[in-house]
Amino acid sequence: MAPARSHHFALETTREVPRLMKQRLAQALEARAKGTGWVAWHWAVSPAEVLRAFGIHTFMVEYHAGYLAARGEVTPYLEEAEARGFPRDACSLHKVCLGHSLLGAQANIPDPDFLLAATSCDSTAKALFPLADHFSVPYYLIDLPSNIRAGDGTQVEEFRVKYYAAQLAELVERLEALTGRPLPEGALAQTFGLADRAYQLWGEVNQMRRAVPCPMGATDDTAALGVLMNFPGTPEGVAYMERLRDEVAERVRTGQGVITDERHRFLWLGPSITYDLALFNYFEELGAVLVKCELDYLYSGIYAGRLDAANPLESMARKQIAHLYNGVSENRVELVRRLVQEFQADGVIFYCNWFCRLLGGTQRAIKEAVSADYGVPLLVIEGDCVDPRSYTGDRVRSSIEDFIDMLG
Amino acid sequence: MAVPNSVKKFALETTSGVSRLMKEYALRARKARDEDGAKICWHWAVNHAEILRAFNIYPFMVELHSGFLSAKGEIVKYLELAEGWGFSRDACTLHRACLGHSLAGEEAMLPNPDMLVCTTSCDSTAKALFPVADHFKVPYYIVDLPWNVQAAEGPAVQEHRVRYYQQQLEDLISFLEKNTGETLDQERLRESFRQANRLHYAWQDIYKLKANSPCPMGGKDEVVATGVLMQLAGDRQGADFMERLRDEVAERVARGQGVIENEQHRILWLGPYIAYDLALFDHFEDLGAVVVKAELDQMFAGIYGGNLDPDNPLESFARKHISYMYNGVYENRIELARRVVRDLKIDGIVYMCAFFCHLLGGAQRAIKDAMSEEFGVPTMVIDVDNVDPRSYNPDMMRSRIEDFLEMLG
Repeated sequence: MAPARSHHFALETTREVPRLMKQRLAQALEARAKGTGWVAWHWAVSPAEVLRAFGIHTFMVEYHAGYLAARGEVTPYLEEAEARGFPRDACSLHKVCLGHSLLGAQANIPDPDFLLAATSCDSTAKALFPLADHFSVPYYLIDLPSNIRAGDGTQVEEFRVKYYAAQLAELVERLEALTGRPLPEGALAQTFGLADRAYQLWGEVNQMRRAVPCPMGATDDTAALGVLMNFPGTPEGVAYMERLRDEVAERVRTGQGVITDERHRFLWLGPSITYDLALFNYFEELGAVLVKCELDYLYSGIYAGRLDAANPLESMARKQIAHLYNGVSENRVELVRRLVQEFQADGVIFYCNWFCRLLGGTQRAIKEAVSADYGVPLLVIEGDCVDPRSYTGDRVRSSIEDFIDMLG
Repeated sequence: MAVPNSVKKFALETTSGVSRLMKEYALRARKARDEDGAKICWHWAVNHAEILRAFNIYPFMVELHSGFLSAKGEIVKYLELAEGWGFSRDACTLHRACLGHSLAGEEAMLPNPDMLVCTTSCDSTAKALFPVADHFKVPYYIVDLPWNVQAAEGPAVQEHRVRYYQQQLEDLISFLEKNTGETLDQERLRESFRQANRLHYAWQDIYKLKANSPCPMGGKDEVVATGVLMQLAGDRQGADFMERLRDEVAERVARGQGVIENEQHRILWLGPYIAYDLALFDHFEDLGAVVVKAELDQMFAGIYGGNLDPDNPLESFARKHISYMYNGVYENRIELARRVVRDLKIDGIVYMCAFFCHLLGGAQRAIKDAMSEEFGVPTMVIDVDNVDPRSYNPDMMRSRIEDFLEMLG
């Protein structure tokens, strides 16, 4: 177990995130107390915007697991889930959520009235069923088609889009039954419009991060990602992204980088090590900035395509099917190629998350692609993104030092 | 590291012939490839062999081959090769072994492929296909297997999922036509399905015969016979084999001949086998217990998921695949276990939780609770890798089995 190290943000706006999360929790609890609102838990790859269109308060279980890990509180929950028979080599994010629920803990996440998941990885549905049993609440499981051919949202084959969109229509029916009222007219269009606006703002932020020196690094990226995960289709999400965009623009205008002497620009692929976010700051101490992470592309859809308020179900289907981790490796490789080029990255860090079948397995393909196409080296770090029990922070730091020394 | 895989001889004469049957199949494939332009297709576990055989194609299942290498004690060098190449140590061992074996450039029982076909049956499968496709520079086809979201068997699978899958089967046939230069022969497809049904029905007969006490055929014989289900569906020689096996099992029942003389316990084995320690099945028998039934064969032919219809091949195939027991909600797998416990008078369950397999793992608690509550049958969970022997302790495993059987009384 690593000693706790504290991290720091470069931007004012990212320091607002904990307050936003607390407000969101308070709103959900208040609505529940008044009997006027529902709470849904959803898993990482699921169309939370549809829940929002019904005014349902959404909470993403993987984000919550990361939050607990960042606070150093995750181990009792992992141990509880393992003691109840969930395998040690199962997804740690899901194990945390299960253990947390079984222990009746409520930190930052109210009990659910509804569960929404997609078959985005082998683990997701297996984590859903015990929770549905435990809370005795209804759930909807969307079968996410695999994106068999390389290509973004526009390239997804029609029959896969129809298969997914039909399930979205069924989800709407289920939510109407849950809430006891029909989907309010125009609600989908309004929610999807807000969601698209937030994603476009995030796209603008990323566009500006190409500047040298880079105005916003991975620590701030990770915090802002929480807003993408938890505020889809809400005015609060849009307002936050506008503030973030403005602050980043101001930093670019004044030439203010994450560090003053930026010698290396790296990409971080895979999830962050939530219990050691200070690791991102360590790169900065060595003159390197993690100019871009990758996980946000699950939500912002810059690669997969935009949500369309006029055609919500089909656009959602295309966005979800074409997310970078779904289907052939070529989609992810192509995204990384673009990022290396656009962000002028001279190194790539691939965090290979133990026991994650969805994100792992492509490191060799990406390594070869960025090396052959751009001469950019890749460092693989293996570990668990929320379980600190086998982590040695010093060893990871040592391999980063070697990597940066090698770059010269 | 495991003890050498020194199993006692098989209980049945017919299963002793599996090794020869497999070798002959590999020889047939090579001969047909060299002399008749036949194609070799590697496929992953949830496979389409019955459709491939409608063409001049010889299918080979990569996971079976990994199990074969493991059983022969030859797998570690291939695992290390794949890991050195950059395939994660926590990735599926069966697929890692296949990649390592491919990179090593050795043929063993597996002729090099002309094409690859897999389904998205687990997260690992497609990721294992790409490096193999790159290495051999061969075309591939991936079939996206819809999730069986509701507990539904064969005919009860929802229509839109069946249509989604069936459309891809038609596309698969176009892929096969393109890569063989042949046009689908409908009669050859029906014949392949008929042969597959002969194989599957004979296997289902054996299942029923196993209800007898003493049990005429145990886990070790079942494991090798499952290899035939994996490799020879749609092939006449595979069907002939399984009917011979059924006849031998029936004769043993008629004579009252069991796997052991004094059968005190009847065990159900869930999950994959420990391929490098098949002798473990003998240890059960030494202690008066017979592993009456395993579960893995039910992926291919069994009592859950429905049967093929030669006159409606693609739809029946789609329904069978979608509703196989590991695909979708736990209830499918629990229902299968329920039927086996009831039909075969099981009094103890071993749940093999294969490290790093997110497809088969994760259901142990649900199954354990269901079997305990409904039948009072206890479950022992063992965590181990099914083909990688590097972290295995055979003595500890035997000791746990002894404790479990003692607890059964």
